[in-house]
Amino acid sequence: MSRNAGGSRVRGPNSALTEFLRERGIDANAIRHRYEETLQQQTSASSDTVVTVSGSSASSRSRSREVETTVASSSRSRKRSKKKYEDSDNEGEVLARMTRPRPGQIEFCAECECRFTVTAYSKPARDGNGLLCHSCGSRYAQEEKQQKKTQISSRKRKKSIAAALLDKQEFAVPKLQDMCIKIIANYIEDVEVLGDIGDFNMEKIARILSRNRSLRDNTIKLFLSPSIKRLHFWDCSNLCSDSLELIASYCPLVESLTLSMCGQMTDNVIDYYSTNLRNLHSLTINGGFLITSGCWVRFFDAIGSQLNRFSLANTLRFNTESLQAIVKNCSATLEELSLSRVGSLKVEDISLLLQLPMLTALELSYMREAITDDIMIDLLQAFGLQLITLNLDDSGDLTDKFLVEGIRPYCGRLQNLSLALCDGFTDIGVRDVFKDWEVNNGLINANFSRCVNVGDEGIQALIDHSAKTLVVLNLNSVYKLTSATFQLLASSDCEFLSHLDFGFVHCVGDEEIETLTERCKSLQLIEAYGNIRITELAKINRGVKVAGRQSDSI
Amino acid sequence: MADMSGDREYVRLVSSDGFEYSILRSAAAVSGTLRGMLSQSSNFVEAKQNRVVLPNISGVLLEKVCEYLYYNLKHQNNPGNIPEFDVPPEMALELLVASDFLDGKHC
Repeated sequence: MSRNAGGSRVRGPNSALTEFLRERGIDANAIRHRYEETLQQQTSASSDTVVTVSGSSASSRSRSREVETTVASSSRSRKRSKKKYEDSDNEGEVLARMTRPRPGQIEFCAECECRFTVTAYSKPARDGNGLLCHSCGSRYAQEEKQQKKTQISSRKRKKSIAAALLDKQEFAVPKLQDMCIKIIANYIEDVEVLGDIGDFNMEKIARILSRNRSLRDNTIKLFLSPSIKRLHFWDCSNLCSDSLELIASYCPLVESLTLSMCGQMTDNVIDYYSTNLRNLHSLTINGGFLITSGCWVRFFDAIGSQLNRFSLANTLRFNTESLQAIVKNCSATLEELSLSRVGSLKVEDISLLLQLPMLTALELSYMREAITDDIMIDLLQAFGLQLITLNLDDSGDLTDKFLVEGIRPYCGRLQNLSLALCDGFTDIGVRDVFKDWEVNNGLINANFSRCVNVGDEGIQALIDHSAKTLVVLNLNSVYKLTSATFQLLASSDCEFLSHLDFGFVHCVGDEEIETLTERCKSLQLIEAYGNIRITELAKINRGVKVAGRQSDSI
Repeated sequence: MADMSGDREYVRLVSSDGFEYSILRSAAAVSGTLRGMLSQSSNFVEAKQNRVVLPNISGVLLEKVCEYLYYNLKHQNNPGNIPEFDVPPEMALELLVASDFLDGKHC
């Protein structure tokens, strides 16, 4: 840029750019001057800039011998430009843009100090002080790509961890056995004979098949063998009644039989079982709704006397006669009875159970109309003293009277208590059961899920009473609880507590869950669905799975 | 390689048809059975010789087993996004029996 010496006012033709800048009053010299002034103020404050500048100029001098002279002479101008870059962070966006060397200029790389021509793609240096030559820049480009990859993969990993948590799966390398079983399950239609792989794995395979819904008439034979004593099929929906009969033909020595989702089961099947399964002492049928009441009567008449455990769920054809048959035949041996969602039973029928003196485990769940305070108190009076397990889920007609006059006086040996969905209980009632309940040594499994009228007093009394023995505690939807209860839980030395569910209990937050995982050494699984105050910041001990946190993204 | 009287880094697995596979001791330790057999604190011949004979597992099968042992060892610390372990279906049954024998919490 030439200037007229002597300050002459004569101006020749100028480029459009020069005209433009002059009109706006933008003067490069003025700007530079301003920079130097502010820089001097800065360098007096921080010695770093001076060191960097002198350091870089010193190293570059030693580096390139050919440009030594050029370097020495232009060191001052470089000092200035370097200072400009360092300053850019402080001055702001506009100045940063203006100080950035334009494409086409020759600059020195901030990393390797070699000369290079600035292009539009030159990357800025790590610390912002200058640009990088092509080779340094491309090196960083690789690293940035890697960073992005690891970010994405860590996000994916978090997702898979969260997904695995929801399924309560172990997050580990899959076992060889499990993989083989999966393959077998997929190819089950083709495989002829499975050979000797042990009972335990047979059950595993049966479970996987049930999950795949591949347990069918043509595959069931693979699981039947004469020596089998325990047989559990969780999904028999594709098994016709002939196949179900096969079970008795092929496995006459079976002692414990569980058949769930067995909707196709008809009377002949049960009749065949009653004649062929001479060793049967435990039977669980879930969903066998075609079986008529008369058939049940015949069944109990035939082998009731050897039955130790009977569990029935989801049928409407089990009525008074059937229950009478049980009572008539099984009173000497029946120890565990479970009736769930058997809608046809009434209160009067339940009183028949008084004649089963050997009962140690009783479940009468999801049969609202049939369960009342009085009948249950009568039952407990009869055999409460030997009862170990009691499950009365969804018996909403029960009130505190049952708790105080039934459970408290008679259930000294009770270890497993499930009273989910019983909204008839109040806080005071629950407290009155557990407060100083000396006859009872402590519950192992306690389920008060969805007992919405229970609060701090009741649950604190439960904790005071059973802290030393509790293994499973379910307080889902007991929303009136406050954090005082959970602090009590943490400080009560619950050394065996391994499974805790406090979903939808709003008071539980990060603090509470941290203290709980810290103090309760055996904790393995915490279900925290709907606990909005628990975030991903909560520090959970390793080995504790927390399922259902909102922050676990899927 | 520091050799503490028999605590070699590699151990040998011998199949029923005479094939010998040399694998890392840490890989063999993935299997509970093998770990016990090769444990230096026992008086087993296997531990002294660092060699385990498996007369119920064929060569082809044993090779697959070794493959799995290394797969498990390699991905122990990062079970998140690991490649699938390929098992040919014809081998699945026998492999199941073998892995049942070799047991372990991990096998």
